[in-house]
Amino acid sequence: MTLLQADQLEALRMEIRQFAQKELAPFEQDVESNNRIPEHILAQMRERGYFGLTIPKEYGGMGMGKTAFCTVEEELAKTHFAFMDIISLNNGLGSRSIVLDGNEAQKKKYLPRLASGEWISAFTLTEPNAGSDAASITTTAEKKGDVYLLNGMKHFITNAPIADVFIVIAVTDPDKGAKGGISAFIVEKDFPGISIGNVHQSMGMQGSHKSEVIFKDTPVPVQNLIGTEGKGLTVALKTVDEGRMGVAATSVGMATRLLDMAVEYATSKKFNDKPLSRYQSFEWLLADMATELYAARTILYKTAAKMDRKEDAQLEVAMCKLYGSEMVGRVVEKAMEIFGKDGCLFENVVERILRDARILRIFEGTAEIHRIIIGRKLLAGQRPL
Amino acid sequence: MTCLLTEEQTFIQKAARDFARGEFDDDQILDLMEKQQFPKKTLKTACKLDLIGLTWPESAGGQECGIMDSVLVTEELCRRDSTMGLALSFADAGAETVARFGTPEQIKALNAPLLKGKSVTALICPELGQEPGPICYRKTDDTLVLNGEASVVVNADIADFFLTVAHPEDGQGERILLLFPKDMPGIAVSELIKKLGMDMTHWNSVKFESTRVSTGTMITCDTKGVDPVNILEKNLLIKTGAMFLGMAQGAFDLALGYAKEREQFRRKIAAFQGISQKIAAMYTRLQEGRASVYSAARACDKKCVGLTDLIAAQLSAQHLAEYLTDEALQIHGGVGYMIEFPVEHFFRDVKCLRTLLGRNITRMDLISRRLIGQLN
Repeated sequence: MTLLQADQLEALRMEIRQFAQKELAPFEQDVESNNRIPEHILAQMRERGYFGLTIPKEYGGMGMGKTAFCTVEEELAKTHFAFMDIISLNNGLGSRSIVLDGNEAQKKKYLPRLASGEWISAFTLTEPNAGSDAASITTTAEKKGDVYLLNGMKHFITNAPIADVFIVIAVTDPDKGAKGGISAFIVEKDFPGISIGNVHQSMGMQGSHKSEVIFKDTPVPVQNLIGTEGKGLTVALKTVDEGRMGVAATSVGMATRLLDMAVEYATSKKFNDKPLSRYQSFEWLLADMATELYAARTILYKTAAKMDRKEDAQLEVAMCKLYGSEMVGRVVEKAMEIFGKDGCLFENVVERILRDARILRIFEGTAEIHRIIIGRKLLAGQRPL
Repeated sequence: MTCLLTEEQTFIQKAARDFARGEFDDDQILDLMEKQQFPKKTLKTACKLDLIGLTWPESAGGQECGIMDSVLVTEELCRRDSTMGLALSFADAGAETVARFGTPEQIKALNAPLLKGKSVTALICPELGQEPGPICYRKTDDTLVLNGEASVVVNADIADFFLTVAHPEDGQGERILLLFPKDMPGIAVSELIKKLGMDMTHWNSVKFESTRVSTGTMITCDTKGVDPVNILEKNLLIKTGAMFLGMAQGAFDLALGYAKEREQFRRKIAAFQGISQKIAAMYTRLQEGRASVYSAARACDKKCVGLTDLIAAQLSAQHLAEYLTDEALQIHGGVGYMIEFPVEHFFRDVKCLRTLLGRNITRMDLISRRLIGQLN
């Protein structure tokens, strides 16, 4: 991992910001209307190495640290959520378990393809009856000779309809269950018996595809087991912090966009006879938006720095995710008040962010689960640093 | 609070509830939402059950029921489904003003087809506190010349008549209420506006360019000097308050149902205190909001309520609905974000209705101005 200095981070931020403004911003509405990212944008993102930002250099990535990656996520999330979402899996849940627990052969085979963006990955854990309670999954992987046979159904799987490779968490020993009976596998889309079920239609997140994935006697070679059998939950849980920091960075990015738009709107639009900004009520709304945003951004980068120092930061990560996602919810409320009816119209970014931001309090662990995580760590004597 | 209802009110409430439960179909709702279609068939059924025209005078074909009765109906419709409920509730918005103040010809033109479910109203009315409104008039002899553009008009493309509040162009004189056919020269109705929610309720912008209507289209004060625009505003406040209350109750129903069904960590999620306390907090707010809306409605029927308390009741119901739909969605977790689950559109519809009514700040200003008065 290469840690960037302050000036390098600033240069990175400017580079991403320019790319986002020049290349991505003109296509935001296009993504929203057509529910897909244009191919030429994906090609540019691949060319710029965005799919492998966090993947180690020796496997074709850039080996970026957490602070740098959060910077990229924040800047991309200021445009359309889909642009950030499409690279988040290959840089996070889709590759992290291979980086941390995979063997050399797995790393050599999969990481370069993920880093180049040639392959898109999906993280396949959630099931209809195992959401917050991830340990109660029922998808099984039964060992038969030199393969495991996968059977079961997963849902709400981001990227599933377009994924080339799935990280699948499944039960290898039903008797042990969560205590050593769950394992993680690398599953390629061309393995037999994989089908894409219902594609989920949701309130927001256009351009990001989620669906059910069904495994029916899907043979997975034993060499595709990540780490050792029975350690799947540990493997998975080690990587969830990646996704959670992504949510926090996205929240900060979206809220920054909203604040900038709200300031611009309040100074340029009139209500009755004077600009909105001349009314104290609007001024105070902006003040609250900016204050909360500043707090969320501060804890985000403080936590990212802690992760870059290789210190345990699970408590702080949970706080960043919880506070960030709820913060952007409050910011979007205030933006709606400032924009009035305009904030409700389809072409308006406020309307889109309202729908997109609502998922942030739910996925990668709900706000409720995060309160449990934080509470338990506090009661165990930990404090955020 | 149900025990405080009169026998007649309980009957009306039950009729509306049975209608909504029996006639609203979830698949049909998703289909109409997807196609952005107004629920014509369901409106016709509602008309057959006399759920439209409830508060109108008998002379206009109405039931002469009170505002409180109509609040119960609106609440039940929006409770069963926000999108369908809002579409049906806006179908006759403002029509009672015509039924009460209009000439027999105006009543024949607007109210009679409404009662048969053959038409809907399109109301062009400034946001509360917006002075002047978007539409201005100039009077020349027996003609009124209208100019201006209303950025959002509900039902504009499917209504036959516009019920319009207009302000004097030169600031001299009163704001007036007009009823005239939509197909007149100088009126332009925009394409359907794509928006956050209310997927069965059409929004369009409407532009008037030197549109000439006769002074005979005016709806004037009654013999006691009551201003129809005042009544229109008051009725809209209480009606929208009832819509919010209904959506809040509906979201509560969905959340409670889901929390008692959904199992995680080997128990129903309602068994977790974090969730059960949410249910208790939601119920507490629901009771507050209901008390506020019901007492304002009862005061309307006794003609002893001012704009201040009506705005307060509406805002209270709106905050309630925003809070409850948000918490209800959260309790649903991931499925709450999916369009197959109704809580998803309850959430959007509440926000959409909120913006339709203008900003909170404007309504708060109206309240505070009345409370504080002139300062020395």
